[in-house]
Amino acid sequence: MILSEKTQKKILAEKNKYPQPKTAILPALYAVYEEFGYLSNETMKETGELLNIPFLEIVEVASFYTMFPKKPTGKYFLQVCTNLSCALLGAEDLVKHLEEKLKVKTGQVTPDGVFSIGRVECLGSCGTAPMLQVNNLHFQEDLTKEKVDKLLEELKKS
Amino acid sequence: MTKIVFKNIDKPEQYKIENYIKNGGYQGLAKTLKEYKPADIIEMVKKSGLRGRGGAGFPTGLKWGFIPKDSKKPKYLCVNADESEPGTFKDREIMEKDPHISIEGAIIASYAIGANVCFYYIRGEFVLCAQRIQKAIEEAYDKGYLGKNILGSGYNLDMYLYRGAGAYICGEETALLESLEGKRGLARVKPPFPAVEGLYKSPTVVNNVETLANVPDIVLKGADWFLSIGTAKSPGTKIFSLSGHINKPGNYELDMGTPLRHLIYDLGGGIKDNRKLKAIIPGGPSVPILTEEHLDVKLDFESLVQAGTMLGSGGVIVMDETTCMVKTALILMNFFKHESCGKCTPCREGTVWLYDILYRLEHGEGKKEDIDLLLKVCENIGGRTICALGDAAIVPVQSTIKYFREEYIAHVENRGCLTPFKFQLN
Amino acid sequence: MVKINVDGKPVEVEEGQTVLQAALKLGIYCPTFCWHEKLEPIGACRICLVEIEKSPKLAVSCITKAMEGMNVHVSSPKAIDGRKGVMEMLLVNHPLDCPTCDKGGECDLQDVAYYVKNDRSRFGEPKRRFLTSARSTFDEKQIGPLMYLTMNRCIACFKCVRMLKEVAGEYDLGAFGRGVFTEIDVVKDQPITNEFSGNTVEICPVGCLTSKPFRYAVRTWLTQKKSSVCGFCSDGCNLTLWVGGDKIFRATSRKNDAVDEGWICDKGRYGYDIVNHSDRIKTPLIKKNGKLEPATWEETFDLISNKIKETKDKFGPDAFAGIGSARCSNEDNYLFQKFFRTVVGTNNIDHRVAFKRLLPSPSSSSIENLYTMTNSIEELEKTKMIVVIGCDITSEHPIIGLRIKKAVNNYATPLVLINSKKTKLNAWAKTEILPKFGTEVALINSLCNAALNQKADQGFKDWVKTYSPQKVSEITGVEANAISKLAEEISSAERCIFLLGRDVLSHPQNQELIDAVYNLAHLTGALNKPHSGVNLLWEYNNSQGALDMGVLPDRLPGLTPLNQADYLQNVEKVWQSKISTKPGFNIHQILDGIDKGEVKFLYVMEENLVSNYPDRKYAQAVLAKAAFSVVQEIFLSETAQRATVVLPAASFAEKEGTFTSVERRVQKFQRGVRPQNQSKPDWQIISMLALWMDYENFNYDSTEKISTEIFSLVPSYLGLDYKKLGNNGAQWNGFVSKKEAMTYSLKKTDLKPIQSEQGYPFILTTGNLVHHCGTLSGYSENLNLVVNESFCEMNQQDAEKLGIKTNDEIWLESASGKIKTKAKLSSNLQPGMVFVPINFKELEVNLLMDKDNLVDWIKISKV
Ligand SMILES: Cc1cc2nc3c(=O)[nH]c(=O)nc-3n(C[C@H](O)[C@H](O)[C@H](O)COP(=O)(O)O)c2cc1C
Ligand code: SF4
Ligand code: SF4
Ligand code: FES
Ligand code: FES
Repeated sequence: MILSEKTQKKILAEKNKYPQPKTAILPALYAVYEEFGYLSNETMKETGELLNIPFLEIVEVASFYTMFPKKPTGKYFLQVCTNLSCALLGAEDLVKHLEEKLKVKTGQVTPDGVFSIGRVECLGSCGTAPMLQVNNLHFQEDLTKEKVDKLLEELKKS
Repeated sequence: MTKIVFKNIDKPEQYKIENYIKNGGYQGLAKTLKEYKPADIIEMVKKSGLRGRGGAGFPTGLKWGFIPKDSKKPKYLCVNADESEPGTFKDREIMEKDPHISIEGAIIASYAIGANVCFYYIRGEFVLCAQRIQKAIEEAYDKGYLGKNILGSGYNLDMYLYRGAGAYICGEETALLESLEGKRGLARVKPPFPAVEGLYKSPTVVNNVETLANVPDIVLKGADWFLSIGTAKSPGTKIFSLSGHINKPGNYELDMGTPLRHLIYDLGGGIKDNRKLKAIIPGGPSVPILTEEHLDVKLDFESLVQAGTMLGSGGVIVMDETTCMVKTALILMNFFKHESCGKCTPCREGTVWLYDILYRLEHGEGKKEDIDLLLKVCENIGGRTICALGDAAIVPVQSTIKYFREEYIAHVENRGCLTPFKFQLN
Repeated sequence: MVKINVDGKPVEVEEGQTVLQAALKLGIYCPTFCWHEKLEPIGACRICLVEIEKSPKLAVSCITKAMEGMNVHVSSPKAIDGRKGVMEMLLVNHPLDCPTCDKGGECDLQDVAYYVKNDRSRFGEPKRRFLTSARSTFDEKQIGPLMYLTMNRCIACFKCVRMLKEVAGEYDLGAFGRGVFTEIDVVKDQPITNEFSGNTVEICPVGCLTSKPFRYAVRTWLTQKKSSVCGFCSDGCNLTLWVGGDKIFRATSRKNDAVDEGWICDKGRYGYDIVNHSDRIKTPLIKKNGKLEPATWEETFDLISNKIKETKDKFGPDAFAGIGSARCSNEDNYLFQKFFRTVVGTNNIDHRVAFKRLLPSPSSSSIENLYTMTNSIEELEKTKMIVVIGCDITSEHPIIGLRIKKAVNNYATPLVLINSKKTKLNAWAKTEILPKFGTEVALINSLCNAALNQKADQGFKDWVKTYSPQKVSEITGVEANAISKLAEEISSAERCIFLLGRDVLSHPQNQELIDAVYNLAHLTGALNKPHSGVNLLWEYNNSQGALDMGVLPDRLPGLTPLNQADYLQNVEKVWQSKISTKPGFNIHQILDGIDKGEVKFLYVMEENLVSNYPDRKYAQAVLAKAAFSVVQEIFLSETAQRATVVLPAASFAEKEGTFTSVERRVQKFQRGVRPQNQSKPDWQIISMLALWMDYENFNYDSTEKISTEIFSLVPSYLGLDYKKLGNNGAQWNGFVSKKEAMTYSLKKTDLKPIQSEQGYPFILTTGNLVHHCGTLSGYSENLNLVVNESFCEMNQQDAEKLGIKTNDEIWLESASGKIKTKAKLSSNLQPGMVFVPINFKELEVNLLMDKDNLVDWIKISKV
């Protein structure tokens, strides 16, 4: 198995937790995503095997949700909200700033594999716009150019 | 202003169960289990006039009452914490700062409808919320508010945190159920309604976080108390999420019926940089916009309908004079086309069509006929889709054309936008 | 019942039925795309919008339940406008490549667009494209051996995926992504190969899913549709053959709710191409100097008739033997046995070539002696428990398999599988029991023991007590409490259907096993209850018919013993001939007779004796000895190659007639195309030969004439009317219908343990693959695209011990012979068992078999 033992354990823990087995698909995919940062055919196949659910159904479900990238992203995947409230407060400028700073376009990964940029729909940070999200994990809110630069520096270091 | 949901929101570490209890938490649940039968709770909530805070405003007690009493199937409660309506971030604050209030409400609701399993469905991106809710659920189990024989009453309830994974449509109740069943989140045709055939084909209630957060106080203080707040037909309070070109964005819990002007100017501190107000979306982009002339409208279900819009999710987005309305519609259409589940034809095909036309208009390739075509396409979507996403998707187009048609014409005549979004990052 | 009005016309429908169904009942057309009669409605496409008075929005009729007093308008301006709108939306991203689309002429999207009559679109934007090329027609991808996907045309009705998941339980085609980029596709490395895949092509409303063999073969309006019945397995699916000139272009379903509900398996759908195969025998052939040379029909009839006269004069009628066919029609088989019983005058006829141990010929004296399916396929939905014994249902009887899945899915009917190997149906099973091969009788006895009641007398009780769960557990390898639990389940089932398949029929203790199951059914009441009973599933399309028509050494048509005087008289009168009452040779005796020189003249009608007889060497040797042999065949089979005279026969698609399916359903099939080359229908060959010999009562100029004779003579077929057989056929019931009043006496069925053979540690089992049926389907190039290679499936641990991996070349060797094939490791088989498909003529699996040894023991070694 490509999945680590820890991930396998997590998936098996979800397996019989719910009233019906398929409910475990999303939680299992989270476990895979946490390990790899994206979902590959191979890891989804193994997930299916562990859950005893056809591979095809795993892929169907995974394909519907946008939070699981299907190919590797940068180590830090920066997703900028470009929905209305953020757009009103400079989201486009934020995307431009990132593209200039990292010298890649939205959807691309920096050559060193550290960063990639994406756009995302409203994340419920509209009151603290503009914002971006790192790896579907951390919200960075009330952004200014200075804050963004500092964030990039910190991420680069870690 | 009365505070119900937010009454303890700013107390230090209110998310911890000991603080929640210290500040009066879980007394509603204790009272429920000690003094009331499930039917009494449903009756009380019905009487209180509480209406859903998730967007549709359906009377909560009535919804609970639809659960068939004689069905042998298991029953389920699903807490809808998928909060993805642009401009809305109230449930997030509840979950991050006072998670137990929604859990207590959910336990009472589960008891009322006879559910022994409750799913708390949180949108995937709300990581802190998920952590707080997970912790809170564990704490509640520890204290005996969840699990077997809750507070010695003989009532059992298991609660699962369940994380969505990036799909606005999964906030629509039937798509949420599909998602919980481990399927692609496609909305279902109603009827059958979830109360009859919901999760795993069993009777199910789906309620918004804020709706449920009102329940403990209704039980504690009574329906009459609740009725005394807000307006006659829209009792209680509502949390409004204020964002956009506003000085003091954030969540505000207001008595129903509070004038919009009060929210924007008194609480929100007015428009950023003292610019002129141009348009307001009062309840998330699924509801029609308002303009300056509507500033005195009262924020409650009926008054907003009278003003030609709706209360929706309470996401109030403020736009100043520099805001291009075509661009606004374009951004929102991009959202709807991206989030359409793709099950029904008019929404799947129509949102993309509308987007394409708006894109051309914004980028200088619009034609005069396009404006009427936009409206025609909207007509061809509205009322013909499975779920309300289709109906919502046409709202930004219709309402911006209604109030700002000349701006659309200008886009055609000037071959593009003259007032692109100006805001620069500081 | 609910009363509503549709377009002003009143109609009554059942509660729960939809507005659409009400409209359809009135004959009012309402277009649909995502709706399918046999699938759960999802209300997605919105094309079926109608107006319902007092309802503010238009409603989708396919999912809206009819409510008392509703006034529905399909034809109101508002409804028409709604559907126009939906149609416009559906065409927004559709490529409109109709001129070059293979679906043209039978596309629902075209038809509805035509009906809606909206000739202009307001859409002026670039269309969504899934693949890179802007040309949509050829922007396609092959997703399986027999299927193409042209995703740009998909209208996202999800019928394909729903059919597979809801009906077939298959997961090799899915819907991915969302919104306008919702995509139908397969997943990586998993082409669509499930045995029901072709149904998705058939129900796809547009040209998105197309079949490889049919696409661009012909425009459908240039073809004619012929009603046919599948010529492979015995389930009896109804087919439509699409023909043009002498060619069959495709086969599709022809819905018969009693049988197939409109679904057919891919064998039936794609196997039609054997008919137009270039290897078909083109002319009669006569062996000259050891070589088969083309001849005319006249020459061959001359030769055969002279030979018959000569042999009969010299050696008498019993020097003849005939082998009929489970593939040929009732009419073919009826004439065949009539020919032997009258023209020749012998009862030396049989057709059961594949069985080592023959069951007694069926008789209608009592139900357990009928050896047939006593329930119907439809009843599987009405019973309360289904027990499958010795059958890989999905491979051998795909359509019965679908009904079982439906029973499990829709009615939660518990399914029990008792097989010596794990089968695909186990995903639906509540219980799967895997007794060791050869111990099944003990297992069933033990179930009887656990189910004992006052129906059993003391003698039976004392005897059956020796089959205690503990003891039987040791014998069978099944846990004792699993046996008790199962007995409890079967006893408490309100109704129960037992299905006994191929592995029971060819079991070394076949008769004991069937009797044991009858004991169990009797004890548990299943023999007398409605929608309950014991069912034997014969293999081929007309296995039942060949029995019914009396292609047996000791039965006249209608399963009647030769000496049943009143019937015999009647038959003799109709046939205008005396009939011998001396039982003839059965299949084994026939071969022995040839071997010993007693039988001089062998006539084989469409039966590949060499491939199917469970002892290839013997069959080959015997054929070489036959003084004169006639083989009537479609292909120059291994048997035909050894004949003195070969007669080119027409396949099921080139003749008309009736088949009797596994559930005793007599179904009529139309001729699809003219007989290819110089071939003729079997019945015609026989009738012409008899006429050549001046037997005037063989003057049949049509199948109907034969059928009419059958239907007025053969007891269980009495009263059937060829003209009125209609679309659904008719079941013969005879004795079966009196089941409730049946009496039965318990039989003592002792286990006879099988003897192992020193040095040959593996037991050989055989069967059909999901995509094949017998050796005939091996000629289908279409089906060979899915699987065309034989293999030997063996238990994983066994293989590991021998150092064998999947795809390794291996020798299979028995005391009789040796063959080479590839290994396929599997966890479905128990240790010590191997499975080899019978479908490929290249792999002569019966070389390993010895007719005198009921179990075939083999050894395996790596090449
Ligand atoms: C497209 C769409 C998205 C929705 N998203 C949400 C959501 O994120 N949260 C929510 O509570 N309700 C959402 N709803 C409303 C739900 O369908 C449902 O009405 C609500 O959860 C019921 O709860 P309530 O009665 O407590 O308001 C959405 C509806 C639609 C049509
Ligand atoms: S309206 Fe849109 S989101 Fe709702 S069911 Fe239809 S396609 Fe899906
Ligand atoms: S491929 Fe055909 S059947 Fe399947 S969803 Fe598309 S249009 Fe429907
Ligand atoms: S609009 Fe960006 S977080 Fe809501
Ligand atoms: S046929 Fe009714 S919605 Fe598709």
